[in-house]
Amino acid sequence: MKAALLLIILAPLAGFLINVFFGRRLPRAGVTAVAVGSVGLSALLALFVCGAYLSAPEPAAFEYYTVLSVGGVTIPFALQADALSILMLFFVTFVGFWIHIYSIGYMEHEEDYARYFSYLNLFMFAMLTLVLADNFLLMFVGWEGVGLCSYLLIGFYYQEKWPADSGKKAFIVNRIGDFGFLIGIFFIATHFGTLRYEEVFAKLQADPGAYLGVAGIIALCLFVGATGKSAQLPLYVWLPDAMAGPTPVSALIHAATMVTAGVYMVARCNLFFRSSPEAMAVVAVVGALTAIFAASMGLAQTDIKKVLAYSTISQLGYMFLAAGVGAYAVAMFHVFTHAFFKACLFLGSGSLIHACHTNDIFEMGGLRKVMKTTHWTFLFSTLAIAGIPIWAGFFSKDAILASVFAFAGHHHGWAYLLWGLAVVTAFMTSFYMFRLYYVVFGGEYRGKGHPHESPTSMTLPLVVLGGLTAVVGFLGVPVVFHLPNLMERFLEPLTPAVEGLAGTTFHLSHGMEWALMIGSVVVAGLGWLAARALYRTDASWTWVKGFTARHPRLYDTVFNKYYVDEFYDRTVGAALRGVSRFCFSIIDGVLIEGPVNLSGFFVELTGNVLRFLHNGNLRTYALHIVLGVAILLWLVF
Amino acid sequence: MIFLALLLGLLLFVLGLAVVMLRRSAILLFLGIELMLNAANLTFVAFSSANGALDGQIAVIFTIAIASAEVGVGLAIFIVLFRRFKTQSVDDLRILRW
Amino acid sequence: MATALFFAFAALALVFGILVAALRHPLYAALSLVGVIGCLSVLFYLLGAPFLAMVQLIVYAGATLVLILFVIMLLGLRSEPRAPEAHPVQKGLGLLLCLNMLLFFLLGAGTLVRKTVPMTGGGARSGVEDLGRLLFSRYLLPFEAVSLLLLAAAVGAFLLARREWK
Repeated sequence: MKAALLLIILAPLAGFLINVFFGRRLPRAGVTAVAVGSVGLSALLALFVCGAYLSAPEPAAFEYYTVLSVGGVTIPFALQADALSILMLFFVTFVGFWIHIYSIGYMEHEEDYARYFSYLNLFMFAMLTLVLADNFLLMFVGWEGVGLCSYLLIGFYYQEKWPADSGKKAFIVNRIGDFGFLIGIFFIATHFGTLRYEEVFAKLQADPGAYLGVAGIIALCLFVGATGKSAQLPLYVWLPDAMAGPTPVSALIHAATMVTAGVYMVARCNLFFRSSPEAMAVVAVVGALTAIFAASMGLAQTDIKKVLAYSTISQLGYMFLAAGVGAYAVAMFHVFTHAFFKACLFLGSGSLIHACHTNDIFEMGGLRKVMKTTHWTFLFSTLAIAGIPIWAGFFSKDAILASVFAFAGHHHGWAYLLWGLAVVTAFMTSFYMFRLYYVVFGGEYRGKGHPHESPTSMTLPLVVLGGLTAVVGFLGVPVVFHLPNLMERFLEPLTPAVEGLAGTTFHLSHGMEWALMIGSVVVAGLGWLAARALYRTDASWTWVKGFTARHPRLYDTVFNKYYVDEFYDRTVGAALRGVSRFCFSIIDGVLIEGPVNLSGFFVELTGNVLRFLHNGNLRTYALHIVLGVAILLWLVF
Repeated sequence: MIFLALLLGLLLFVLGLAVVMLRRSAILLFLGIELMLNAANLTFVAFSSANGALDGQIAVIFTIAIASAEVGVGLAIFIVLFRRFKTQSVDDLRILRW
Repeated sequence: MATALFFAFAALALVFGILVAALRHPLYAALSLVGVIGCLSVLFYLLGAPFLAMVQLIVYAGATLVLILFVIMLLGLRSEPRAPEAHPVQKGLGLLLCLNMLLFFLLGAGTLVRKTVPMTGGGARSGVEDLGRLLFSRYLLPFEAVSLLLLAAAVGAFLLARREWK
């Protein structure tokens, strides 16, 4: 077990090292074998670790060596396997493996094949370090590592301006969040004297009253980190632009795994959040606002990947909403199901882009007939994200809505408002996803050329992930069906009941639960029907066109994402540029360059004088030496 | 006898020094250096004899070895320079001068 | 007898030394240096260092100086024809420094040496065996270092003097 955990993170690292140093000299098949093989090995070992944990559900931590020991704080390089880590480990390696397979086909014609795969492997290494770490510092290392890989992969086509700029944008916005995270870690180190989860949480559990104030501050700092990484308000702006990267990267990093790291971290630190009702309220409100805000922006996008990007932000908002009302297991369940259907959606969009050579959904259309596999898997995952019963998203989203409703009923009346937002978001989600589906697959083909189905290496992952969207939901069946809720039971050790901290589950009557479930299905169905009526055939678009023509200002505002980017540029960006200009001209130009140039001038002056000693004559140099010796001799004796 | 050896060493050393500082031909500079080395060797042997210890003689062995190494490399450089500049005068070798 | 020999060869060495400094033709100067080395070899023997005397003859005169002579003859070097050997300032300063050196050792350091070193001399004669023991025990590391240096010099000399090096 100890060796297996270590090998899980080291295998992708080895793959990265091999491909980054020798990738250019290896044949493509070799690069593929190294990259996919190392991740495959990780996935197999992850299955083994999952099996071992399921047969004996005891959290285990293994220490490999001590990184740092200063004063009383000791930071080991240690990995741990508990329920939360193992859940993440399972889907990260599983989805990651299939996306590696998919990339073989998608990146087929790419010049920088080895570079792409080396980055992808490095990402796997960092992400696995993040989820398996057993202390905050190691988690931060993984956290920064995934940020770096995200930057590298968004800017993969660095010869063009948009991807290069987007990579920088993602990195900088993430850094803002990381700063909050780092401050949170410093707080933990000073107040708890250790960074290991086990010790920190044990101290917090033993005496929650002693840390009441500081725990809330720590929780908020950590949440700032989470908003950066998981693209929540107000730091969400980088994610839509992250779509500049290759599509499998969007699927892996910007949908399935990395962006959920924030949710993972909040769930991991739930004891901090539960110490402070205010922090929880902040999380819930930010989550709900992000969900509806992003969903409304997704309504008018025409770039297929941007629609999916906004839907990712919106779904992440759902997860934080769940975490904010204390339903951490439910949040993680949504992370889990979301990984499958969103990865499948992105891979499906990659397959479409591969076939049509455009991102604009209005240049696709009628692809139902030519791309059968892509069509069916896309339909499956659309049903899943919209929340149609038996597909995965239905179970997790319904659980979130029910949790919020129950939380509100449990004397937090203001939370009914959040519930309302979540329901509206559910309608919007269903609407824009089916809009996407009908525009792309319905009607007649409107683009150029003749699209054809993608190769097997791309369709196989689609089939696997799409098929699973219809299955994984059953891991978290609501109680009313009188079936075991496996997910909740699995994650139970995550949220221990502690006297003096907020609870994590609120119960509803069965009748209420049925009503909510039927309600959410109806809402999703209404969204579907509305989209079907407006976008099913090319002819039915006329109403939409008329509407946008009648309200150009409304449409433009939504289409331009409420001008948030422009707002940031005018305020934060302008301020920053002003400060930079001041630093450049005054601080750098006068205060720093002045002395430097002055010293340079003196050096030049001395050199100009002394160079007359160096007349290039060997014998003069000999004379100088002897002169020096003579002076020394007279000085010594 | 030992005093005489030391005096001779001094005189030979100064002669070598004069050659190095005053002669123009590179090959003569070599000879001057060798002369100085020999003077140093002589003083080493003289002191060794005076003290009755052998360490001075060991130093001479090292000096001779190092001198031969120096001559080998130095002559190689000299040959290259002579081929290139067609002169043995060190005064003409000043192309790197400012 | 030994003292007389010593005086004779010391005087001869001095004469040869002056010749090295005075002659301008490289060939003659080099031959004078051979003379100096030969005389010094005899002095070494008289000072109780027979091994060094042989090394001086075989290595210095036999190898090093022959190498210099070989190069002189190979390149056909003659005395430099141009009249002023050195710039007057250079010449004056150089001679002054030489004189300074001479006076310093004769007056300053010379008295110091005379006080501290037993000038009676004629210490125990040393065999090759003692020298070898010392060389391979206490001076083993410098010995190995010197052997490396010789190797490096050989490689360096070969690289420098190659014909392509133009």
